[in-house]
Amino acid sequence: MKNNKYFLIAIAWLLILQTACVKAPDAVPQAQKDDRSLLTIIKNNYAFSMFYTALQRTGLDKTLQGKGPYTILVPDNNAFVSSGIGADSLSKIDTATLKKLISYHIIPMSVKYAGIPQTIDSPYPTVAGPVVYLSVPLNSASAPSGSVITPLHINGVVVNKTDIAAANGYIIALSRVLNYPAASVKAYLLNSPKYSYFTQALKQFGLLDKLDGAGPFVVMAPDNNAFINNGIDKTMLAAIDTLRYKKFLFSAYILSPYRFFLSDFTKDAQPPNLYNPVIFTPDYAITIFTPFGGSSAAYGIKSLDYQTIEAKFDNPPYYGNSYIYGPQANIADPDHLAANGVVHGLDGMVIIPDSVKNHK
Amino acid sequence: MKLYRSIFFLLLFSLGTAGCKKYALAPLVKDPAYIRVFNNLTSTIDALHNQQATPFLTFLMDPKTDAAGVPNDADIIGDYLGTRQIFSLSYPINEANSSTGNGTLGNFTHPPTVNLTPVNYEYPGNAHVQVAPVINGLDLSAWAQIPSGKHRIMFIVRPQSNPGFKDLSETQRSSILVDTTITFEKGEVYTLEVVSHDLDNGKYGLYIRHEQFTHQAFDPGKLYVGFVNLSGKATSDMVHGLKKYMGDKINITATYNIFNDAASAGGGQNAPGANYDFYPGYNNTVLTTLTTKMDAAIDYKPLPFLSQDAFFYQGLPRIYADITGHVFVNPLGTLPYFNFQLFNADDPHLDPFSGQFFFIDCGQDPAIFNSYVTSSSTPQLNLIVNTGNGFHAYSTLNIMEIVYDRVYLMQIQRGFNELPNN
Repeated sequence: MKNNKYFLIAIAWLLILQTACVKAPDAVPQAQKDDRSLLTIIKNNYAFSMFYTALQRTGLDKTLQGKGPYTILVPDNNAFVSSGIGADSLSKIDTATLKKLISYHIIPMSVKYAGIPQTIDSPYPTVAGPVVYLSVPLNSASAPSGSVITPLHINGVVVNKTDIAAANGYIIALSRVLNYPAASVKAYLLNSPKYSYFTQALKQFGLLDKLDGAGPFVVMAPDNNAFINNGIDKTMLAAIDTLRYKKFLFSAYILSPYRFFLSDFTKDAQPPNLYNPVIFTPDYAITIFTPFGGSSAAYGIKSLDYQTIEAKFDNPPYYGNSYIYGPQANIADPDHLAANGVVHGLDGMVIIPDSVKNHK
Repeated sequence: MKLYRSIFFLLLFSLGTAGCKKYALAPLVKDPAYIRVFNNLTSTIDALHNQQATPFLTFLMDPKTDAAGVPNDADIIGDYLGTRQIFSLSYPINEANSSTGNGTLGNFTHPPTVNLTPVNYEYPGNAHVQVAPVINGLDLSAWAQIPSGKHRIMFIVRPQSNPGFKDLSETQRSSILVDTTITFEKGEVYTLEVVSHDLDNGKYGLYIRHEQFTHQAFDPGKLYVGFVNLSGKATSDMVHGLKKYMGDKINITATYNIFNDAASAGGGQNAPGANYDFYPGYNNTVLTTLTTKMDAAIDYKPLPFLSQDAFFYQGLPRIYADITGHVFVNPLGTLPYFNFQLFNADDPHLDPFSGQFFFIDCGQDPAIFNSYVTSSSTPQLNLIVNTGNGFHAYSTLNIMEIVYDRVYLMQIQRGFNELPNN
């Protein structure tokens, strides 16, 4: 009995050691063979029923029966609901708009997770025309504490599942419906009544028209409430001294050339630095602060010359301090994609006219 | 009973024969040149800096491209090339070891995030290739043989993942960071390093050093150290003091600390009492000033190499500096060690993080150095090896490569096939 044990242990060791030594790089696993077409998989999956209905209504179901390859970004039914689209409201979207939106969810090539570059916001074409941005985080970096690094997000939307194989492509399951990008940042702002004060301010300072340009721009837009909370109404805004405040009262809300989504801070891994990412301009530093817990982020600005901006948290700049946040506003309404940039809505203003002391 | 036992030993015997695959010798290269390749990129990307390259590369020599011009194969592939380790020596440090990453990006999280994807810290590293012979008494086992002549060199930014280069998608393979052509001369030694010229604007390049140490005469009774500044343009957060940066013009001073046994006796946790004497002539002595960057030639400075008994105390080797931060008695060790101070010659200011000038204490144990996140320290310049029935201190040739906020040490062992005679 005892010897049997030795015998078994010896055999086990033999097997282990024989398999142990030579390490070869992993080959890419063979693509899962699935004879069903993309359409069949979507049709047979109850969780995708709303997307399937949309496909049928727009006639895109015929496209997906073709040879492909296609990669379809499919929001499941929960994703539709959490994006504020119920079965009822889905049926009320007019067919042309819906077709544009749904074809924005179709990438005319096969995209496997292992084949996506490991970087932030790499563009992929869609059938609709405008590109989608795929982000794969770095492995060795650390996530903001309390958040979970997700392996992939698209236009800031967390991906639930990748690599669902079909005969003519792949399906990627999304946790939200993608927004169809606006024609430009300017067009988005002009069509958003929520940001009408900000849009008017940009117009007065001559900053709005450049938002039609190539960019890319990230515009941090304080909403109308932010203006009202700081005692700025439309009449006061119309009377504002554009020369005195030219330098950064509103230009600090426009970042170029940048393009990023909120998830690039909260869901993506941050590099292993001791401080939050900072953009320096000649006059001020901009920080995007992801607080612990990681579900939101705050936009902050800090003057490099403390005599020009006075604000409640502003102290003489202390170089070497990794926490130069300055006054901040929460990114409350993130990720409005346009062809030449992204608009993130803020719930506050980071500079108000009264805090600007010496502003030329 | 006896049968079982003999089966047991038979099986044990078969372990020895069946355990490992034996490699066939790689064929010799005719008229070889010798190369060693490093990835010096220390940066990584975040949402505000996504114009930068992630520091995970594939080195390709003489790539083959498909119809669209995208490389899909090469004569030599050095895959999974991660950021180099702070210390590298005459032979690949991950030789016969697992090439799994251990967070060399200098992260300060505790504990560092373990990265389970393959990584090589250099080419050839542990690749199965023929390497350079001993030239000029220097151990060059970390330089690979390649056919001399003109070669196209390419570096691709690859993801941190398991698939090898050839299995990556076309999108991934088309992300070319460096593409250049170099002529390698027969019998010459080259070190190739991917460097960043301007991180804020995403500009990268290849630094090629045609090593002259194979042609120079070195005194066997001296240590040698050469400094070179391989930093690119300072980024805006370095200019504004958020990140360390050594400056464009660097003054370097050397101090040689010799442990004073008598004066240090009786030291304890509360009174560490480690006393060091300066070696005559090496007390904050100006060694050199680096005024240029990316120098292709290195000016090796001779430093004193002490006699063997300086490395022993009562017949036993002296101790290295403590790497864990938990040893309070003589934390800098009792071996003689060099301290180099580096400061910006144009603007000598103290480092806001440490309140001192940037300095490197060369007192650490080379065997374990890379496994720890350490600052302001690097391994001993005196290489202590167990050879010829005992420990001996060997003289070395050291190249200190300064990249923004860190100093990479490449140490080459001298005269390793004989006992030192000092």
